[in-house]
Amino acid sequence: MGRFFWLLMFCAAALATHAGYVLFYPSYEFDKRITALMAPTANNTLALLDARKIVQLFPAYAASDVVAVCRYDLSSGPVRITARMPRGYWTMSIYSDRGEQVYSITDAQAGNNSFTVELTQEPGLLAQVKGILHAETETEAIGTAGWKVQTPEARGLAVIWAPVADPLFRDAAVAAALGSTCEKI
Amino acid sequence: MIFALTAGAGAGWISAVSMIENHGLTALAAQPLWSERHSAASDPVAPYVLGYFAAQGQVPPPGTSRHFVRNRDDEGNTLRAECRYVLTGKIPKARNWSLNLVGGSTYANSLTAGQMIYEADGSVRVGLAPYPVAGNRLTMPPSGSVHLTLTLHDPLPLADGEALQLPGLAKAGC
Repeated sequence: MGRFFWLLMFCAAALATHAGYVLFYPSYEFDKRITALMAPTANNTLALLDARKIVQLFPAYAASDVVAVCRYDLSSGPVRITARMPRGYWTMSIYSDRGEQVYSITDAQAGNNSFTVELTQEPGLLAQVKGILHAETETEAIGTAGWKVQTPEARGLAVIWAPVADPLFRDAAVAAALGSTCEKI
Repeated sequence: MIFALTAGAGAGWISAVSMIENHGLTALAAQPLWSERHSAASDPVAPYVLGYFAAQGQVPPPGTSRHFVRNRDDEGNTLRAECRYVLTGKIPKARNWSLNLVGGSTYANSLTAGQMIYEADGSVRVGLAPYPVAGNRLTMPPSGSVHLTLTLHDPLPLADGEALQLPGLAKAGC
C-alpha cells in the first residue's frame, strides 16, 4: 500500500509537470520573444522587420526576404488587415499566440494582390450557447468585402512574407508591404 | 513524500523537453541525415510539434512549406564552425526555397532560390566556410554549434514512387 501511494505521487507529479511544461512554457517563451522584438505599443500595427529580427523569429525565411508583422489584439474588438502585396510569390499567415497557424493564403489562392482580412475571436462556450438561444431573433451579418477569420485566442501574429528573388525588386516589395495596414475596427 | 514529488517533477520535465525536441522530427527514409521538422497544427501531437518552435521564440513555417534540418555531414560527423563543407545536389522543385546556415539563436546566413547560381544540370553547389570561397557561399558563424535548414515553399507534388532527394553535404577540410 505504501509503495503504491508513493508511486501514485510520483506519477501525479510527473504528469502535472509534463502537462504544465508542454502547455504553458512554449507559449510563455514565444510571447516573451515577440514582446522583446516588437515595441510594446505596437499592437494592431503593421511593422516591417529588419534582417536580424527575421532571423530570430522565422527559421523558414531568409534574411533578405520582406517580412511584415502585425501583433493583433482582439480583446477590444475585431482587427482589419488591408494587404497590398507585391507582384510574385507571397503568403499571408495568421498565427495564434501559441504559434499555431490558423489561416494562410498565398498569391495563387488569392488571385489578387490587394485584399482585406477581418480578424475576430472565436466565441467562447457561453457565447456559443447564448448564440444558439438567440439565433432566431438575431440578424445574420453578411460581410461585404474580404475574408473573415476567427482566431482561437485574442492575441497572435499576422505575418506577410514576400521572398525577394532579385535585389532590384526589393524596394517595390517593401513599398507594397508598407502600403498594407493592420488596424482596430 | 518530497522525494517522490521531486523525482516525479524531474521525470515529467525531462520527458516534456525530450518530446518537444523529438516529436515532429522525421528522418528521411533515403537520406536519414536530413530530418523533416513538421509544424502542422492538425498533427496528432500538435502541442509538442508547435511547442518546439514556440519554446525557441520562433514562428513555425507556413503550412504550405516543408522544413528540413541537418547538423551532420555525409560521414555522420557533427558540423563544426571552423570547417569547410560543400553542399551539392538538386533541390526539389518548389515555388521558392531558402537554405539557412544557423548558429545559435541569433545567427543565420541565407541563400534563396533567386540568389543561387545553378550548375548547368540545374543542381546547386554551395560552399559552407568561415572564409570567402568561390561561387555560392554560406558563411559559418564565428563559433559554436551549427545546423543547416532547407525550407521548400509550395513544393511540387512528387510523382508516384518518387522519393524526395535533398543535396548531400561533404566535408572539404578544417
